[in-house]
Amino acid sequence: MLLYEHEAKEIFSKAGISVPTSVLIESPDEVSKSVQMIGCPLVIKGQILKGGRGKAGLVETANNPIEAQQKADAIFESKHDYGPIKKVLVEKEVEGVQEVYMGITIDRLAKKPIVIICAEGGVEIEQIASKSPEKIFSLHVEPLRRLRFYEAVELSKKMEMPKKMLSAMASILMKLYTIFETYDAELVEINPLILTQDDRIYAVDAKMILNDDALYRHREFKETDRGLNAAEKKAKSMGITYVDLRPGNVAIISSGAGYTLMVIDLLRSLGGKPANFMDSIVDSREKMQRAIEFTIERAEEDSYIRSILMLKTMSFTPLDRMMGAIKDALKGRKSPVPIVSCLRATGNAVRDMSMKEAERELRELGIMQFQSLRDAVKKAVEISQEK
Amino acid sequence: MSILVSKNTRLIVQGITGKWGRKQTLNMIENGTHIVGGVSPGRGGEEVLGIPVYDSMSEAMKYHQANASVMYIPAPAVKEAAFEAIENGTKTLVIITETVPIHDTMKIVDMAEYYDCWVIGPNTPGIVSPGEALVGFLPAAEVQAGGVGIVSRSGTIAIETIRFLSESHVGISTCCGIGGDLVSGKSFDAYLRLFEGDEQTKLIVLLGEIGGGMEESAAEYISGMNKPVIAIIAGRNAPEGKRMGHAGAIISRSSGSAAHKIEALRQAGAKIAHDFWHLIELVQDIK
Repeated sequence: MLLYEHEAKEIFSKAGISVPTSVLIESPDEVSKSVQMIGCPLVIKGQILKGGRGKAGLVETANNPIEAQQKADAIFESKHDYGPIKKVLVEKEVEGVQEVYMGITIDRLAKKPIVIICAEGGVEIEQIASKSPEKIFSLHVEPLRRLRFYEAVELSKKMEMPKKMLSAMASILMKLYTIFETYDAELVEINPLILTQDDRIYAVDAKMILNDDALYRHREFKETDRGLNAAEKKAKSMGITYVDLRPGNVAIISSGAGYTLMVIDLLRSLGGKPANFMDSIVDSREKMQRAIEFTIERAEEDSYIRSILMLKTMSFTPLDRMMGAIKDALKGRKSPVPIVSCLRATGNAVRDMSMKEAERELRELGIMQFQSLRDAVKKAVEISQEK
Repeated sequence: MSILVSKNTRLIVQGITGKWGRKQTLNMIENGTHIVGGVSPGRGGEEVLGIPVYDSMSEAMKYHQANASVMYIPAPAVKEAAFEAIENGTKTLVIITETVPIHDTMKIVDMAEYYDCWVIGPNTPGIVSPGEALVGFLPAAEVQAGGVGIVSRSGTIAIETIRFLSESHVGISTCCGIGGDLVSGKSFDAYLRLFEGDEQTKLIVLLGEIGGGMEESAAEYISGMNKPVIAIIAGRNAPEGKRMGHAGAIISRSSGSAAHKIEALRQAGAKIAHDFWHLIELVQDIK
């Protein structure tokens, strides 16, 4: 989960990493008060969960109160495909004599955190990595041992700051590591970290991505479905992982992320356009029913969707349970588009109901059932392409 | 592949008294796995399906000299249970649980490396050597023993692949779900090394997907291998920036695309199958 800049800065500040004085406002009415508190020159920053804010005109400097109001108004009124700007950070402008980069992320192959620093701050690190990788220095951290101060000092030397700042820089790096671990982050980044004329260091931008799987132990963060669109949010609230791929003409009901990825690849290779990706542990009757009802609703509101592909492989989960869920989902409602299924059940799953019985019931419901995944996908694509 | 699980596996089930653990224990017993004990703090002295339950790993190990453990434990409790298993001498640890926090996983792997414990998972349906042992819930009943080794990031792709191979009467030496998260106990190349040294395995199927650089790293090892490798990479059509289910399946701007992985594997001499049916064709060609 990506945090807003202001959320990350609050965490940094609490941990002892200096950030520029700021006020978080939620409407243009609050601008003049914040200008009084902070003083000019200041920077007005729209709080969004995407990069490229500068280009989108969402980070603007103001040298006087009138300019501040104008720029803030413009940012609040700006239109974006992800919705309106709800929060704006009004921040004191910090002038630096040097800017560096400091970040910590996970090296998946090494299976360890990696601390990355660069003497050139204020530029996208990925750009530097491709153009001048020799400017980047890194260190892997043993997760159980953590980062030692002397290691932070060694790394900080590479930031080419004045010697007297070495200890302070190392301290910031240590604090950043603590934040990284304590908040279960996948990434923490300060870019740029600025050194001022009077030897003060500020994190002028802050980025944090928290590990979704650890959010249960960080309940202070709200809006855990941020970054999802309306359909995805609704699915999430029902316990279904849904990735909207619209526009697409075949809607997919499936469980198993890898399997669904393969199905999407197959669908595309046969000329179809998936409307979504789905991964949900569908072992309960309610969950299966909800997944079907949700998909039917999506088909009702989205005219691009021309067929529904329903997939389920069962070896433990009872077949009769799934059939019950399907019947309940379709009770009193008709799917606006044909449903094609590939349901397969073996072993314990067919203890109380045979595949033959299930196939009969599916036929009665008007669902086209195939034992072969390829045949089912072909049929779903065929239907989706009919005039 | 006797090195990880075989007839010599003496397995402990952590979380045996839970509904999940209990059901899966029955399934493993039915598939020939030698389960020597279970651990569930506070339930020591009980029995599940004839298997003695202990309060702790140290007790269980004292009576049984187990060499492997499988964990059916909720995500928040995994780290401590894994530490317990590793520090008490488990040599092969299978963490079935999904949604284990990544920092917990990194710490588990750190400790495992120190104690020389092979961690399979987290987020895996486990490992099976047909005719020898099943640890987890991969479909074992339908599978014959044979010469194809399978290693996979995705559990559901592994399950499907086993089915396809079985239906085509192709036997398997070992199939292992290495884990679907950002970080897994071991990477592909570690498993490839084991397969390369395993007499029973003649051909390896590598089931990869978008996200990370594990397939590219495997490609480096593959270029020096003697045994043939066939790979499927799922997610050719996944959009950038969106996490597709698994914590691990995400294409970022700089890495993780299926195309990049396919190219690296091809250059290393692996054959690329674009779907399950193509995989069967390629397997049969090589035979």
